[in-house]
Amino acid sequence: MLSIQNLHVQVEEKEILKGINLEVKPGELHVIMGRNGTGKSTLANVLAGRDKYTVPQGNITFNNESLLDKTPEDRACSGLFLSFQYPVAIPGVNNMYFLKAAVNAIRKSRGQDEMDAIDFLAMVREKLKEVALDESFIHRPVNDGFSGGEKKRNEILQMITLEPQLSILDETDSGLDIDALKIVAQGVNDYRSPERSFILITHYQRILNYMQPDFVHVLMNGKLVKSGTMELANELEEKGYSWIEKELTAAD
Amino acid sequence: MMESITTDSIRTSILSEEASLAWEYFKQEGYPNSTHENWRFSNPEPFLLKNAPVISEKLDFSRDEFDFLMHTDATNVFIVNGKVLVPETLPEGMKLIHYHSDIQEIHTNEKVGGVADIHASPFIAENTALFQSCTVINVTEGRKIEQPLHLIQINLGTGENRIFPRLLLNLQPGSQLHIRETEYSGDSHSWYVNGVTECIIHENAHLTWNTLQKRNEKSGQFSSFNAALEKDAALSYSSIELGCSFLRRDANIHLHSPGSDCSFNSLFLPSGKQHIDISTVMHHESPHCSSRQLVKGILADKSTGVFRGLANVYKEAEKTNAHQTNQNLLISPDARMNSIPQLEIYEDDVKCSHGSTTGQIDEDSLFYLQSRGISRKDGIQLMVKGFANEVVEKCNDETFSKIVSQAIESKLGGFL
Repeated sequence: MLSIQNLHVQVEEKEILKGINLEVKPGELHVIMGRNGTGKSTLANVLAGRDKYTVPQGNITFNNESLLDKTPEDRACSGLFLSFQYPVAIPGVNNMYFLKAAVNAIRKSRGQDEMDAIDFLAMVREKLKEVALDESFIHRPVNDGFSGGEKKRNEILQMITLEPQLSILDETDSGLDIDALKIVAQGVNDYRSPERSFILITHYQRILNYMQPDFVHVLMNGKLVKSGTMELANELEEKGYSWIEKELTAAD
Repeated sequence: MMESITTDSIRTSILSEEASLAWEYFKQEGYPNSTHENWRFSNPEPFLLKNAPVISEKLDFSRDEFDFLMHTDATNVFIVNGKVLVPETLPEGMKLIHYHSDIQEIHTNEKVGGVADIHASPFIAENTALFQSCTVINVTEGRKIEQPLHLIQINLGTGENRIFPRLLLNLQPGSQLHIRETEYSGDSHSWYVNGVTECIIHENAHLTWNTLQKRNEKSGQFSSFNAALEKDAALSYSSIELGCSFLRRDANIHLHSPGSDCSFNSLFLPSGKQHIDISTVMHHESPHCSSRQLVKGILADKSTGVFRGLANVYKEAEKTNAHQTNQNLLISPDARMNSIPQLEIYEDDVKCSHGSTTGQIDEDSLFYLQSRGISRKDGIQLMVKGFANEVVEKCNDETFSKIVSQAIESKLGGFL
């Protein structure tokens, strides 16, 4: 589904990612862990199409189509979704209006009819229940005055409403209390299916107590230096990242 | 300098004494120019139309031609070139009087000119000397008028003209009124409009005033909204400014007695070479009063905008709450905005704040929308409309907000 080959990424002349390789197949949940500043969010943003990054080398394909020359909106319409680490507040834009515009933009790109307000509201009401949010929530301006937990739940609400094939969750677990964390994890688990894939970027092993990842990768020095399963995450939780650093130096 | 205005033009009928005093003051001051601090970024000169005739009525006005401006859920009142066409029926408790040159005396508790100070601006002085006709609206004590009153201000003529509309609104204690005002050009000529509105909001009275300004893009308008609020009175004022080649809108609000409250909102959307200047003075004259100003500009093409806002907290006006926000969105690299928020505080025990930001479309927000499948173009529209919405929502009037939103959307369609 997603194939990243030798991806190099620069921001303002500085190389952040130095040759990432990753294959994500349908139904898989990949976890990318790593210290602050290792480029985890850069990877997420490059996948979603943020234009402040340059890609001097490498390629990304999504469903066998090159992703890099597509606009962010085209990527979204082709089934890619990014849950933002810091969701942006847009004062004055009603959450429901925004979500309806997004749903209809994606439906239009798929050759489907636009949803009318009544059908849309009925659908969103169901989705709201899944992330334990009150209906008043969608009548507020997008992320404006939302608490940290509300913002992240709003991201999950958007995910389950837009129904992407590949969801990239950029630190969707950070800043959440245990109840909110469970709701977010449950939202993701309920959304999992043999056709849908996930890349979960996180600092902590904590959210993995509620999810079953297929692969865990460590991002360090701009590369995925180690891959494993849930055991690797447990090991990182226990020992931190320095032992991997030592392994790498020893290998050099 | 006032070529076609002779002393004959000065009103000799109603309030003739006030007229000659105002004229004296106006002659002495003259029109302002950019050397005056208050006019530093706005040059009225090209829009004064000093040789154009002063008119005060339009005899062959046909209401049918402008029925598209009427609101079905409101009492519609046409004011053509400053002359009000008194409707046959009005809500109970409301009186509408038309004062003109045939009437020698003004029968109202409040004097015309009691709130609009001729010294505040030469344009107020000029209007006070030259208006030929004055609309006075009075709401009886304790009367809450449910149906909105829609004032449709139209200018209509056969060439360049000057008009001086004048309106006095008197809300007796405990009364309530909701006003909508549409300012419209009935033709495509250049006009010079100098309008003065005065509102006296007595104890416990509540006024909502919403204006949609859609003059043609050749006209120059110099208008002032002047209000005095008595004890526990409340005013919610909003203006949506879309038209005019040059607009200067002054608001002089006097929080005259304790407990009065004013919310002042304005949204302006110049494009092309339009120039819009919103200038407010919030006089906190009494303790325990509050004011909130929200002024937003969306500037396209080579347009220019000015916001000059002053919260003036008088001595002994303790427990004042005065807040002022000005936000501007530049849609084009050639648009220019000058923002001068000011606070003058002569009392210690007060809460005051002001803030002003001017910027372009936020790329982070736009990326967020795009990442949800919304095209860049639609995303910009959504954000700009959202930016405008904050002011539209302050109007607290569903019908008006709908009309305004459509007008904004159609204007935005021209450049987004």
